[in-house]
Amino acid sequence: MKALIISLFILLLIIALWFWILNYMDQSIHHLIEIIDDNLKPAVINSNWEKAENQFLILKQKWNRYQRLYNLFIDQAAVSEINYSNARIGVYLDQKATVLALSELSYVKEHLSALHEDELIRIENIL
Amino acid sequence: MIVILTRTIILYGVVLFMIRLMGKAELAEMEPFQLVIILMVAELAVLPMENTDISLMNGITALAALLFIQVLISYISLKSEKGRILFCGKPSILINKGNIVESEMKKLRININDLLEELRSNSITSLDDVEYAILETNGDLNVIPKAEARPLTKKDMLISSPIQHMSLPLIVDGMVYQDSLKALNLTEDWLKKNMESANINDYKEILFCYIDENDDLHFHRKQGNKGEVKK
Repeated sequence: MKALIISLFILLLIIALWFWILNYMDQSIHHLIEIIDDNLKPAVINSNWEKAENQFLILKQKWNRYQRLYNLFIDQAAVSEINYSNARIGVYLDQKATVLALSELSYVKEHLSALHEDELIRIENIL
Repeated sequence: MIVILTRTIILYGVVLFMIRLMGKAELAEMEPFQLVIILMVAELAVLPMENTDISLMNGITALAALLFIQVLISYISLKSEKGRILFCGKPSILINKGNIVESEMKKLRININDLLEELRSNSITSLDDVEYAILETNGDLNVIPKAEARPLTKKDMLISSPIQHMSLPLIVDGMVYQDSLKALNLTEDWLKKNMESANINDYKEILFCYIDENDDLHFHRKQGNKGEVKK
């Protein structure tokens, strides 16, 4: 009975942790996507490069803070992929390459959404 | 490299904790569900150990889930007969009252050679000596010989034997086992007196000391000298 209680406690602890992480990811990723959609993309489309670079800096800082926790629970290859994309976006913004910057931003946005969606209990994730 | 080293140490601790919590029965790989758990644990522990892309927490989560499943199934098997049959199956009688049960053999895909091999490993050389042969749910074949083929026991000869306690260690590498003394209603003073009779002044001089079923005390000194004192 003791073993059952301990194992049940561990399992419930993991489930509670998963709920907390899911909530944290939902909020943080939603926030990052908001920055991309509302600030970064319009700035790139309007060739407002100064604003774009400032917003990108904010995005990078927030991402660096969030990814510390993500690294503990999510496939690290997926997290690294966003870091590589961020590096590319930095160069595209420096070079004022509108199309490349927009496409890379879209890629990051989709990737961020996928990070969250992969953790949800869905039949396609389970199978 | 140091990351893999650290992960290995952590996962070793986790798996050790798991196996300890699962209980001793797990180590014997007794029932089908326990065998499955052991195989899966081994595989799951290795994946995050060697692949640093996989989060350690994900590996631990999978192991924790297995731990829970195993403990839950064990508990259900313990409390419910139906549960036990569902998870462990039923023992199969291969020889019943000296007759081979062919239908059961076919069902289990066991041929006569396999049966004879198992009987030989149970020190049975003739099928005629077997009253019952039961294939247990853990895959072991238990053989009950016919009455005339069973070894003679004291009970058969109506000889009574005194109740004996099991042999217990009293001192191991200079350390006194208080639990053993307590179990036999003995004291350290008694032990010291016996040590003096064997010319031993300190526990540290003793490598191993035990009391056997006949209450004889045996000393093995660290230098390799052996002593024996009757209780």
